[in-house]
Amino acid sequence: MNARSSTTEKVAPTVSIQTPSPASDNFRSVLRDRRTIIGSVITGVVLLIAIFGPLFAPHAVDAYVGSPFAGPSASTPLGVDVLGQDVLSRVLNGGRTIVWMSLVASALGVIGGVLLGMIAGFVRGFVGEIIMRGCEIWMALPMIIFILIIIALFGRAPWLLVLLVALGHVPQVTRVIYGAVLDVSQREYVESAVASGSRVFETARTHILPSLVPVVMVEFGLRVVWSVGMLAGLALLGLGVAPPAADWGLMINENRGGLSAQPLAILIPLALITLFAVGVNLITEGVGRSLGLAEGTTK
Amino acid sequence: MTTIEASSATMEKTVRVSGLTVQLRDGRVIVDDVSFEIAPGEILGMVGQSGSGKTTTALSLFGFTKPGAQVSQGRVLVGKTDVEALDAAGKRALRGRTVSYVPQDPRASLDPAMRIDDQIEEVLDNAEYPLRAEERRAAVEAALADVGLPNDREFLRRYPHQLSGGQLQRVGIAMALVGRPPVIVLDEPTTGLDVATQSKILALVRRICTSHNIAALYITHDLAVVADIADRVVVLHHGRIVESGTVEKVYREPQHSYTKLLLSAAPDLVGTPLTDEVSPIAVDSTEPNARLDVKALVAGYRRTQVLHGVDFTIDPGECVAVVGESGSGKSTLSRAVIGLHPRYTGTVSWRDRVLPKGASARRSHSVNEMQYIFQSPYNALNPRLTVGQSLTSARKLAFRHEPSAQRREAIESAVRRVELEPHLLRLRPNRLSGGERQRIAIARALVAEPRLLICDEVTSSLDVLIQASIIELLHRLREQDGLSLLFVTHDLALVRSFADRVLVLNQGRIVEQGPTAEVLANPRDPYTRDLLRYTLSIAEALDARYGPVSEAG
Repeated sequence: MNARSSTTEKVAPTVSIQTPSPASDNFRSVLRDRRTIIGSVITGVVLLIAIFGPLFAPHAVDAYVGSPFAGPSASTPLGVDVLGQDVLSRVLNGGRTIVWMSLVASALGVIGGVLLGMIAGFVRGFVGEIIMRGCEIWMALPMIIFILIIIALFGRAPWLLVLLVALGHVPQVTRVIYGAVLDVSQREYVESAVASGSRVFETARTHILPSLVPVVMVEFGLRVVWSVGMLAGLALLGLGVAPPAADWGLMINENRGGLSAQPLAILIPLALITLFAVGVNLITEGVGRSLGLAEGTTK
Repeated sequence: MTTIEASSATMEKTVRVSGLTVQLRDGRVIVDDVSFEIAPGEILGMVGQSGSGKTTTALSLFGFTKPGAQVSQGRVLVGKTDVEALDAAGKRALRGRTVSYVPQDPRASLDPAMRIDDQIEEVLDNAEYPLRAEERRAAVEAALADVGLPNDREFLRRYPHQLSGGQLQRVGIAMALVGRPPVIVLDEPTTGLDVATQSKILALVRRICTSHNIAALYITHDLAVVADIADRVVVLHHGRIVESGTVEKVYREPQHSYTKLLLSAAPDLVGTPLTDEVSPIAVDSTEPNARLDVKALVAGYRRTQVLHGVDFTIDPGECVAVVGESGSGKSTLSRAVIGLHPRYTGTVSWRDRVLPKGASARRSHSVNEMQYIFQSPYNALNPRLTVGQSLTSARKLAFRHEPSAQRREAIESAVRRVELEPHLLRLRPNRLSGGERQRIAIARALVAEPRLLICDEVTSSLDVLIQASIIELLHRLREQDGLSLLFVTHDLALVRSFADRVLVLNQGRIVEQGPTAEVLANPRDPYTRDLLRYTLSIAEALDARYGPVSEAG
């Protein structure tokens, strides 16, 4: 028995140093991630332009300031657009709509998808089948035609556009979350909770939802890119924000005839849309990755 | 053995490693001044716990270090080649031809989409020594014949999924042999195999090394395997060799305290048992009916039936071991009992009441009283929750309305009962070792204040010292609280010192049950007899090879 008790002593765990709490641990590793830092800077700049831009606009968005497609000048640093309006002023004013609409549409789409995906993946059975097959049917419908029909019927109110884009995201997010939930729900700690009498909602909240955070983050980033693309595309088709309001997507549409004469009127809004999408993606992916790494499922 | 030892003294050693030191980029030393030699035809066993540097040392024979590590000192000579001096092409030529590798899990290391013969032949792809098609074919067939596999066309054209685990490991060995290398490294090649298969593979390795005069490095954490197969052994601890010598000398007269510790912790069918002899544990008289009663349990998955009518009982305070090999249905059995496998017929009763089949339909009282401990401590804890959060949520499930101070106290007391410090509660599982995680998993079961613990292979992924300490802990919990245990394992040796009764499960049927000592001493069923015969025992292996210890010597 002597040899045995010395075994225990040798094996007895020794974690002596005080360790920082896991929350601050995670937070730090998120901040250290270079991807997140670059993404935050890019997104921050675009957001600043979108939010505070209107304060610095030299002209009104719909004021006639020069001949159409005139190049840059002292009073119009980025030139003049197809209708003789100042490009800089329209750029500074045109960000708000696309930024809020894409963020809200993505958030709604992701929330809907996470809820459906969790129900389908964890409850499974008949309800799960219905949800997943429904998603497949939904995905088989061409989204853009569906949106065109709804807009033709009900008009182009911004909230309706947001809702439609969000609906377009739901089945895709559902599928991704469904897969992740299936994986997590067969882990032993989930089974342990189930065996201890944990109710479905409790298990989902304490064990499954937290595991989904990295996936949800990455998915949200991806969805923002899609939202931006879809909203800009709708604006390009003339179905988004109505002129004379300023909007980056709309500007691309309005000025596409003058691409060779006055490229800035297209390139600047295009660059801002792209930067916004890339920036948000870098942040979400960086955060998702460092959360995943910090809490690594294995050793 | 004596002939080999005598001849090896005069013969040129095939492998000579001297002063090998491997460091990580941050300067940490993971292999520290390791030296050993292997003669032709000799098997050197390398024993150590996970993280002791076994694999890193072995990989140095291939001129390979894992990313972030590098050989900072020492020389590795294979034949007359200095491995470290080779360029990338030279190292590539070395691998498979001069030194070859038999991995732990052949199922994971064989390409599932490639036929057997193509995979073995691939080893022979070498620009420097091109072989003609007939020569390749002949080499493959010879290698398969060497490992005792059929080498007809039908077999050669099979895919890995069409072979059994033992056959796959033979294919792995054939791949290592086909290039006729003078050196083979075997990395725990029998870990996932049944005892009968393991014993055949070991005999095979022994025979091949002797007949082809191959120098082998056999890495394992299993001391019994080394006792069975190796000529000499080195014991690694924290990257250093703490002891080396012939198997007989190291096992019978261990010098270093670490070696002694390892040997004392290894479960063995013969010799002094792990814990003190099982004493009948006093049953709490207030709990006379805390009995598990399983009757005519039949369960399966979709089309395959796994359990064919299993009956047994566990009395209050009793420890019953269910022993079976992979595929015997032992996991399905324990999962059905706990309510994680609701598709069964037959009854599971607790305190003389038949339980509903699914855990969610069972009453919280019976759910609390029966707790399940999982095999892998790495998956059993939620990586996103701190240990404290995991225990709190388990406690809340068991006792929903309870003042938080009382809950806190219950959790801390559970942590102390598994011999851990409460400050671990603030950590996430990835900061804990395997043994600590398994203790926390046990603590999570304890917070529900159970009467019966169902332990599913709880020690099989742990090192031998940690395994011993977990067994000791479970034993103590039984003594202190009169807990009943259903202990599911594949390891007959582990059961010996620990269980009151043993059930032997074979292909979904209980083929034998009875008091542990009786079953082990007089097995009646042929399956139990085979299991006992093939289970390796250090003492028996040493006696068979070197004769019994002479008291005079």
